[in-house]
Amino acid sequence: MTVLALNAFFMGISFSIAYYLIGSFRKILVIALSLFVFYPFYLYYQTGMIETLFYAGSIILAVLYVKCFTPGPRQQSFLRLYFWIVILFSLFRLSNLALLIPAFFVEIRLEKQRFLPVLLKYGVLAVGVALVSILTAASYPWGFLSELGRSTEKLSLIGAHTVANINLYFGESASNELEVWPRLLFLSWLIFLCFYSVFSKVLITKKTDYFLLSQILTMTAILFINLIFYDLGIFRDLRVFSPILVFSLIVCFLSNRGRVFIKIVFFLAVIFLLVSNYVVIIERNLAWDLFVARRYEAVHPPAILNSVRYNPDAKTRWENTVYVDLAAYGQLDWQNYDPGMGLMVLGLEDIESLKSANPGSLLKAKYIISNQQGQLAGYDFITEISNLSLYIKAH
Amino acid sequence: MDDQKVTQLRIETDMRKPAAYFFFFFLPFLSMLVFFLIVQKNPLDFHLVFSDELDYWVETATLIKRGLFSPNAGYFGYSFGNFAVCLISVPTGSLV
Repeated sequence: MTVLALNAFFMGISFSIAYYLIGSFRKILVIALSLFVFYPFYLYYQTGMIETLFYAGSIILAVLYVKCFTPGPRQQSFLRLYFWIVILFSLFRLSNLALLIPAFFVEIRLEKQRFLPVLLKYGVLAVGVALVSILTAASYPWGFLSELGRSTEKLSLIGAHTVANINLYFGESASNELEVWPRLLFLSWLIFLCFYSVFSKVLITKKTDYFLLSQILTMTAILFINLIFYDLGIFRDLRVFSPILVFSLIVCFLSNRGRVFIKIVFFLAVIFLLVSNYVVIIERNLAWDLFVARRYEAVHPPAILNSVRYNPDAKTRWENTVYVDLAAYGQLDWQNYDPGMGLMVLGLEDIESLKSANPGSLLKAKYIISNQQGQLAGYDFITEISNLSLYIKAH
Repeated sequence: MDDQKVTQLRIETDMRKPAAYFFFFFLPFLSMLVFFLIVQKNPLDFHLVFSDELDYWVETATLIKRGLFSPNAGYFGYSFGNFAVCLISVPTGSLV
């Protein structure tokens, strides 16, 4: 319940800030209502995932983007604000660093800063943010980047992974329509921006439109980062592409590129929304089950976490750590969770250790919760409830 | 900044209505209410499902109760080989 209220709070703050900066009730209302009928948003709006925060950030960043490209007394302040919000959001998702591209263009083209020092500044910051993120976050062992880290043939692995992702991108072997359509909408929008940008340069303005070019480069960077380094799959890339698509649509909707351009943007956005909701109708059973039904079912998990208590006098952090089988993770009695207890999902190597002759000598955590039955050497069996066994490290 | 620009900025700011802020702040809450009416579910029955959201929840609870740099809070992550490199080297941490 708190999670849902927090989601609404983030969006409320975001709409209010957008209204403060833009000053048009009608425009912000159109943005808000459109978002509430766009499924990559409204499905995640009902979860505790980080996506709502990204959409809230996308709206603020889009408004600041327009302000950064509008000459005025507060342009510098808007640029700084845009810059630091992007840095903050990049700590949550590293690919968001691509959103620095527009700030870079504003500095070198509109503010006439020198190219090399600005490039150096952005390069150093991007590397710094990447380092902070890598050093303070656990890597996902089943993801491509972990596989790449372990591989001795990195280049060939990247090549094979990219080819596989390109095939996936266009829906080959996709398990449902929900994951395919955000990719296609993202690509259609990127192609439209490219065409319009060329058309505008050749036939209308006769000069490069950095406002559009920045978006094209940002979206292209996000696309390539995903194709080369990320894992495309069920509800994975959808979460990366959609907030960026929303960001770009809002930027164009709020731009001062003329009425014709705004009308085209509005028309395309309406088509996107119609397509998106048609997809939800097709996949309504999956959407209902994953994002609604399971979240409100009455559950009676076995009371196993109430036997795992935080020890403030622990000599090592492993004394306050529990290894949990991934299969058991969703079945735990979370209402009994004691803050301070670390939960570490058993990786493949740990599962091998668990099956070895003496798991106690290989595994570090004080507790193990597993759906494996029987004795574990080096660990004492405590209890078994509903096929979940709790073990504690033997002294 | 010249006087004309300052005046323009002031006019733009003044045009924003307090009621509109109130409306935009509560619109997301209203939309959630509409959602619950449509799906006929009780928001008090809501619980987390995905492992990611469960992770966020337990880590936030630990952060709030034990602090960001607690030397005793347990490890989060995916197995011994996949923890956050910087968070592993704590004063009392003895890994082997």
